[in-house]
Amino acid sequence: MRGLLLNNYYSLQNNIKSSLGIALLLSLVSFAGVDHSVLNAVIAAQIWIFVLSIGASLQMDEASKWNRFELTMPIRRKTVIHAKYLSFLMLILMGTAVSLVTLALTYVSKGDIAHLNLSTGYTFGLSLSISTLAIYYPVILKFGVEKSEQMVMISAGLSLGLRFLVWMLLNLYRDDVNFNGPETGYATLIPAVFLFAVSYLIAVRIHRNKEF
Amino acid sequence: MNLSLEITGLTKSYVDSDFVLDDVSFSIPSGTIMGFVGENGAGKTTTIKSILNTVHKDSGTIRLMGQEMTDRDTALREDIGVVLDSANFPEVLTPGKLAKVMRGIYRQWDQALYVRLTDKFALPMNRKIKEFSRGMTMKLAIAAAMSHHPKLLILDEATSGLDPVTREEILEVFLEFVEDERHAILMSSHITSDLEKIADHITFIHQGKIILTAVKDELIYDYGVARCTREQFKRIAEGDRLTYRVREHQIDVLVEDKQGFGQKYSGVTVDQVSIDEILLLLVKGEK
Repeated sequence: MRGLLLNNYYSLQNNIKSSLGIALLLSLVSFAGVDHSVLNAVIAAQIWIFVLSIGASLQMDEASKWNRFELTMPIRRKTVIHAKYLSFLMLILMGTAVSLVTLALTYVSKGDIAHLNLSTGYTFGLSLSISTLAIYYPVILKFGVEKSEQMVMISAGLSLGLRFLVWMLLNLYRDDVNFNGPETGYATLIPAVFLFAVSYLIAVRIHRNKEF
Repeated sequence: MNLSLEITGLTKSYVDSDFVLDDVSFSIPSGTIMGFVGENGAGKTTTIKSILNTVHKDSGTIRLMGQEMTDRDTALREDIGVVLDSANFPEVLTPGKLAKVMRGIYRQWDQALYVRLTDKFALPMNRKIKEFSRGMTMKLAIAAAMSHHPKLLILDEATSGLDPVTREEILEVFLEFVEDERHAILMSSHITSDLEKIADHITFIHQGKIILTAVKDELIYDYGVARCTREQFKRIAEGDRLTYRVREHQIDVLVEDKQGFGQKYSGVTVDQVSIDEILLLLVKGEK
């Protein structure tokens, strides 16, 4: 497992560097004296931008036929999937960690950040990233990486659709729920995490039956 | 006799293809090298994929070191070294990073052996694989496959596309490997001259079926090709010929015992036969 995680990291390394560069540039927005809605958008983008790098790594694995080779090593098929999903979580964690830089810079420029409600940025970024990966990976595993970029965008679109659905459901019970509000954010995280767990199980099943 | 690999009645078909691997059976005794020969699309790679469980076989039994291998048998895979037709490592890795990956996967990984082999093959530890030539990537794949002390090496076209000097170096490593009686190699190759140098047995596959398995020395020293005129060919009993091929001015007949054949059919020239020519006669010839 350790070797697989390390390999996933090496495959992602260049893209992680690019994502890190962009995310750090976005952090500079905090010095521009923008309001909390822009900061929320920046935080969400910083988390999500790391997820975008996954396609390049999967394409690299397929091009080198590593996917086939790893099955000849002393690891089980479900361990391969396990390592992939742990790598996904690692990417999300990296994005979240970089977003803390935005908080730190905001604190430096404004002095007080206690009054800013930034939970929307975090819940939006996390739910979008989690559900994007949850939808994207099983599809790519089943049908191949040729349409990887398009699939990331479709998955992101469907993830926004999930948020919209949750918002609609919340509106059935309360009239004052905002699409960008924290209630919708926290409520969307629950199905996103559930989707991620289901996605893992589906990916294990697809991989078990897949021929390389 | 201990068998490192034993395949019995292996069949495999694909949904989107007419190709069928049909009742493939052969075995590799420990301490030997089996050459696996066939034209493109004959079924060599599908057989190897079935052995390695990267495809799901339809039926048949495959025993590695006496044991059937399922997805769960990770300990058994520690004993198998694999070199496929390309390096199969992500191109962003360097040999140094690859070793770190492998160390995290193989319990038996021997870093000292890996360093020794990469030194022997003159592979730079810090250069990315994408900058390697084909020869270098194949050497790296071989070094990685051997550095976890496998008992069985499975090589799919591992020497194809390499220059004679590199091939010679690699073949020497394989010969050293089988000096240990517990080791064995299955080596598929188009380069039959390599197999003539190092294989103990040769298995021929054609259109998904095994058409011949024989001891290499018997193929080289006992088998022969009789160059017959039409009149001479008519005299040959059906049981004395394996296959024949009608050429413009002669008929080439593959025979199992060239000495005996020469004595029985005087006047017929019987030449020594190469593995290439045997393959050609088996594939293109008539029974």
